[in-house]
Amino acid sequence: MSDTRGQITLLLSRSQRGDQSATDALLPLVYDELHALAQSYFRSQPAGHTLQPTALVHEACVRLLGTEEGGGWNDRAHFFAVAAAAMRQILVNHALAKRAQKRGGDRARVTLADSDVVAEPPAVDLLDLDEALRELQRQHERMARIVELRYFGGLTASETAEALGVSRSTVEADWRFARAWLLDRLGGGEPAGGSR
Amino acid sequence: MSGADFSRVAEVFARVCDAPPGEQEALLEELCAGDAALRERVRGLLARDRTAGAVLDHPVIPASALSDMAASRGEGGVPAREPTTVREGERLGAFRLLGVLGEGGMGTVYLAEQDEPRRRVALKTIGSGRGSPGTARRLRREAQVLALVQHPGVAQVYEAGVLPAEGGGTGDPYIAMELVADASAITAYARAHDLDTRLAWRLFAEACEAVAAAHAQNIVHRDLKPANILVSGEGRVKVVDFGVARALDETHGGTVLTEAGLIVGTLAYMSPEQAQPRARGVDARADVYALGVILFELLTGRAPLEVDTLPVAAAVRVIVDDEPERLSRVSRSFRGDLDTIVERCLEKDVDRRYASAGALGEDVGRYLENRPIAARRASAVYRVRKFTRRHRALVVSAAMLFLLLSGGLVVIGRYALIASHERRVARSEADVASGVNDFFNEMLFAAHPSESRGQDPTVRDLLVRTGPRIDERFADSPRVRARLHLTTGQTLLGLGSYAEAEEHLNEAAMLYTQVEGATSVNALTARSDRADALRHVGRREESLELARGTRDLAVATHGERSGIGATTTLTLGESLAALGQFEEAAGLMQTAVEVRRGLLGERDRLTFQAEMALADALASRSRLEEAEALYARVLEGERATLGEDHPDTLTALGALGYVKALRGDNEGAEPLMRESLELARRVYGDEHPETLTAMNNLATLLRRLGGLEEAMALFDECYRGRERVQGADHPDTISVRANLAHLLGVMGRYEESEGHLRACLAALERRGDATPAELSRIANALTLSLRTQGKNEEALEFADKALALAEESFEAGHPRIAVARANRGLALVALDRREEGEAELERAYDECVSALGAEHGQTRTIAGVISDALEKWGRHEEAVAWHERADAKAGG
Repeated sequence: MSDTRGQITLLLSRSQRGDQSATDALLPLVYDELHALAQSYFRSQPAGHTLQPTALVHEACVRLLGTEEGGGWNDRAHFFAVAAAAMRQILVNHALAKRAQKRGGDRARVTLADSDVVAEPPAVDLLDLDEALRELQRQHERMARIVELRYFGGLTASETAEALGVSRSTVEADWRFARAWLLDRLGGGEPAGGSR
Repeated sequence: MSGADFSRVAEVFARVCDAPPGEQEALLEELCAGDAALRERVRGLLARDRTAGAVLDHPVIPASALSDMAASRGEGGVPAREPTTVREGERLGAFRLLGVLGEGGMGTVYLAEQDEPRRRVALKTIGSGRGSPGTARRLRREAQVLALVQHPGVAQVYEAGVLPAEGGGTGDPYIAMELVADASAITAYARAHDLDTRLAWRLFAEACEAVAAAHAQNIVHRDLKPANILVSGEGRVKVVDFGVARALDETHGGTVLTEAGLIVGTLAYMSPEQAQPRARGVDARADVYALGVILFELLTGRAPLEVDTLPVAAAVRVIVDDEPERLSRVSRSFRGDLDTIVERCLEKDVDRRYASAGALGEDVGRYLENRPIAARRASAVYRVRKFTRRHRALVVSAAMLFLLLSGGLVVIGRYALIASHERRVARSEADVASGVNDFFNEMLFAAHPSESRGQDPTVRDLLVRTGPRIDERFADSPRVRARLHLTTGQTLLGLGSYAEAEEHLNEAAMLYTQVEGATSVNALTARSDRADALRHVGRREESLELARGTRDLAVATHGERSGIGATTTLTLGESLAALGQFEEAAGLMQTAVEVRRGLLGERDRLTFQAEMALADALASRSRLEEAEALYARVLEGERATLGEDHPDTLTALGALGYVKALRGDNEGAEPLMRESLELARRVYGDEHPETLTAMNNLATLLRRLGGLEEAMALFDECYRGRERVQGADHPDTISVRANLAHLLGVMGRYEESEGHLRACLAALERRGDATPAELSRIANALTLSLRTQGKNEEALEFADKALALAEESFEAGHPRIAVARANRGLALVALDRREEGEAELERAYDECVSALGAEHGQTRTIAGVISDALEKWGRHEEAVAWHERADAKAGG
């Protein structure tokens, strides 16, 4: 564990200095950690319905960096950024696997009553969101990062602002526009003019 | 939208969005200053902003994602990243180009070296300027979905995407895939090597197997042609470009046909449903069609329909309308089965084709082994049947409409029935005594001399403890490891330690595949047993998939009438039954029974086991009399040949008791079930799944006979045992929990009951593979519990669902439908919707009379309920008449 921790701290600081290969090396480590955490969470709480990514991301931070404060704030903020990207990939991979299972499934799926059923899966199609987010990234890198941090990393507006080194009001304005833009993209062909 | 647009839109949006709604419009007008497009764009986004709600504000990881992660440790790494640049000369994105493998209308295939991981790949770029972001996404998705198919005959796709073009815009889509050494198209290979018919068939069979592996994952190729079915220098088949057609096709909607350059080369292999201008609903059978064309070509050197020389529109008409040439017309030597197989592939009507490459492969296998094929020539009956099919569809939709208006049920515990046989078959390959060979014993006992005495629990502990040491102890001998993993796995299966068994069997399957080949009896046995284990741990869909693949392979290579053929057939039947697909299950079990009777004789233990499985399937399809007769026969046979205490005998005893109870012969059932539970406790111990099943069954019966306290104690013990041993989300645990809940309700403990039932529904939801029958059962019980608490509206809601689900899962006239309807009637009565309620109850009564007879307890219960309602409404005379029906029994 301490080896991994040292390695991660090192990679983080290299990554912060703009070393792309360090970022690339970091991602799988964080991915595996999040994945393992998700598994243990699931095993220990069979009745758990859904989970906020925040919990996983924070716990991964503690495990990989020592304390949540460990490695200095810069490390931590940067870690969150990497973790959000990893979480995005985890969820997208999961959605892909689900899609593969579902495709052509011939058994009728039954909708149960609303009142007592576990929380619905997210209302957005993750794969579409992922794709729309790539497009947003091409238009406006920072907005896409903000969405990634907030949606997939579960960071608050303040945390996002700190992680990106911008003001909180910038985060909030960007977020608001990005959200409308993404929902518009995800809305498919329907005209965006009217309200639903 | 260009980059400049984007920032303008964002800027205006930011300035307008916080303005009071009344002022937004004016502000927008002012800021856009006549730029109508900009204004409309921002207005649209503002509308999204207002209605955004919390859609993106609360990220959640769905429960299914968590459970999947728990189930699939280590899978799904970080997806490969996209290449970011395309430079002139030697490089294309992250690939170093080494040469050109081929060029065609679609693009170029390069021999290339990937940077990371460093490996040689076949890099295919498609078209020019065709890549939209949508194409990239689809290609990536297809590539990742395809990564789920692991088959030596399917070329792996390493990654896919779109190369960004210089100067913005989008560039060519690319696919990096497994390099096939010295590849040639299957037809070219056959010609070059002058293959005789038989060898060509072998090659073709291999191609079917590869495509079948993808079909098993619901992946359809959609563009099979000789150029996509490659044969390596070593003579092995590799199918390439899975999913590519789909990814590209969607880009262009239905208009591909007009783009002659893109499509003409492949028209010859295109199925009628694909060739039609508005192609839709393309499934595995399109691939079957293409395989048929390829087979025809392999055998005759020409195509069954001449389309290559025609203009596109004319070619399409030929594909859709013209009958293909008969193989037997080309050469008389092709008459008979060969002709039939090809004919079945090339049917215009998709329903007449083989359902998948697997089914085609099976017939090819049969043909190669000179066994009768499954396909039949089209007959005059065909047209009549086709009409009937259509007619039936009409009837069904009328029934569905009716269902929307109706809905309800009382729990009947018959789940355990399925569970009980599963266990028995688990034992089939897993006799504890015979499975452990000398060598194995020696290792076990040397490892743990102090533990060498004792009974089952000790053996189990030993296995669980020594199991992980197999690999280190025999690191250099995969054959020994394979044997030990198989034996350990089978033994653990027999002992009810399914999760541990599954791991060993998985190891065994992989090792045997390596050392003896995927089609060896041992590899097939290990896979089949693993499918059993997966089913027992509740991973039913996986189990079914594995069982089907294994059976296809076993039948194709060893024949249906072989030992392994029968075993894998039985396993597949069990997997289907576990998912409620009893009809197909019963057919398979019938086959397995016949094969085993033929191979092993009437009184062999394995024959008995197959008969038990068949009887279970019959019982599940309400053919109770046949089932009872078969159970009784097996019980008698096992008592004589195996003895009274043998686990198999024990299972038959329990099953016979159970089916008697199902038929309403409760008094006849009770002693059998008591004996069964007593024996199980002695033979297996209190927490073995088999014991727990016997417990559940007896409790169910006692409840019906009125022994509520004893029933409660048994349900409770069973539920706790199952939760501990099998986990809270296991189908068997959910089932007994529902039984417990129902009884709690009957005894007036409504709140506890409701809590358990809602937990059951949540567990089923978490599983995601619940059958309508399971859901119906819980919904019904919940109806009862809610109604008794006076939550009548909600009760009716669940009653509606329960009835619809029951109708979905049982054939018309099944007593469970009648009971569901009765429950719905009661819910209506509780809401004082008298007319509807009365009609529903009477209908339920009639259904029950025809299904079970007027004297059956359930029928009389419904009569009693009607009588009570009428009494309440002041209709005394009618109430008395119904009361007499409720009393209608010859003896007490």
